[in-house]
Amino acid sequence: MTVEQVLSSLSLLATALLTYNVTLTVLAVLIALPVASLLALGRLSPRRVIRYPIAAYINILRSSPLLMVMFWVYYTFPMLVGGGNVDVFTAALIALSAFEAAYFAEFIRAGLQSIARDQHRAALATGLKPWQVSLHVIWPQAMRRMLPSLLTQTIIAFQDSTLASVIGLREVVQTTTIVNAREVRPIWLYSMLAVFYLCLCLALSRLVRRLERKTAERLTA
Amino acid sequence: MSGSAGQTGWTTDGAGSSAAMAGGARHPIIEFRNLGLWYGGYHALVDINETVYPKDCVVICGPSGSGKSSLLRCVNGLEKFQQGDVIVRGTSVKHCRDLPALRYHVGLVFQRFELYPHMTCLSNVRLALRKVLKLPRAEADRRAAEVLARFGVLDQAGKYPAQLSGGQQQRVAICRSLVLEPDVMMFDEPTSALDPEMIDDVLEVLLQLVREGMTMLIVTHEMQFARDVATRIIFMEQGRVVEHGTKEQFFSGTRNPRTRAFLDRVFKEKRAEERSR
Repeated sequence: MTVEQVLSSLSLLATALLTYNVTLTVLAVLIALPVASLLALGRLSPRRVIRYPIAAYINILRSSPLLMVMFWVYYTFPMLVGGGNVDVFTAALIALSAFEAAYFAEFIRAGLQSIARDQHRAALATGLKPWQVSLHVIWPQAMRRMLPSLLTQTIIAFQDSTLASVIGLREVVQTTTIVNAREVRPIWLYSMLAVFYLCLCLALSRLVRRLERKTAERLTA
Repeated sequence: MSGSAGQTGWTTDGAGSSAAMAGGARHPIIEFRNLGLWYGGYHALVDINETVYPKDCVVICGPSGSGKSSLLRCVNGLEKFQQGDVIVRGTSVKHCRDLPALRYHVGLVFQRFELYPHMTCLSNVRLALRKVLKLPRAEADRRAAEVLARFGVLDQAGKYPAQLSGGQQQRVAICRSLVLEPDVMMFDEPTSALDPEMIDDVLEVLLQLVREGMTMLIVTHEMQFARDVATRIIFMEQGRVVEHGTKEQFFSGTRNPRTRAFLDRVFKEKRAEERSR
């Protein structure tokens, strides 16, 4: 493999990674977070009409493979709503957002529940209204506690974004396959892909580790 | 600060007890009227009828699970009771439409302090001033600093709760309630989570409040402290008030065998603890 070939394949892979995988992950997380917060609140609702359907959604999504969810959104869903096409990127985004929202919701619920009852009581006792207690006392603490797990899940979502290749998105794995069809250098190309992912995910997990340590220092002593 | 509360002997300059005798046309500040509370099928509070007057220092004692903490939480509507009512400063808690407004007139201090761990001590004390009383920041800062200074923790203002000792944390928690200038302060075992050497630190603060004429409801196992500062004592068991009266009646002349047994046990433990030191 010549230097030019390496460089051109590198840039093709990097471009695909940024335009599809990174964008897909970032957008999916941005959509999933607010949705998951609402799901978590619904899951904690005293009303069964709210709690049960949301629990069902979370459990179904969490026990499905993402691959299936992608197929479902891309092929089955348009048929159910009566024809029409979803473009690949939108389908992948909907699938990933819906999938991650279910996971995030469970982390957020656990985070909210981990804040002691007496923290609520102490804040209420000073005359704060319930929404002020949530905003100023409960959520900021819960957020700090759940941040490491949310970020870890985000890393998984980033890895999972490659699954969009099966519905034909030209993300990084798909691109590698296409480049390989031209260059026929599978060992080089797929190793390059592995190194990309290794570097990015390692950097992110180190960030998570640092955050975890800082949270531990701050909240306990 | 060393030694235990048991050895120190607390004096109140008579402020607390003279208030109890003042009598006359004083209006009660808290009235429990036939209060009943259930947790599911469990009857946690049974027909409570008690009255607290301004400047009273009422100590509530009894074995754990006897409903002491629940009783305090009924006062500011943190516990939804099913029977009777609590009247706080003339307002019915049962029919209260604005509980937050009622709550900040009644301070509540917890066994485990319950400071907000993600905020500095100053922010802890300041939060309700800003969000409930809507004070401007400078004014809120001034009042928060003032009360922290009064209880000797102003130098901790910029620190996070986790950086403080238990005794200091409890002082800050007391400041957080007091800064709102409540009419009543309630304490739910304020020294039970503290190391022995910190206990006096916090009892001293309570004593200071009693001297200043604050109306107080204290759940505590510090019977020596109760004997010294309480104007009235309520003894609870299994959700019932088994005995109530002035501390003189309570400590010397109690006829109730269960109260007697409780007191003997508490003082025996206390003596054993002192011997072991």
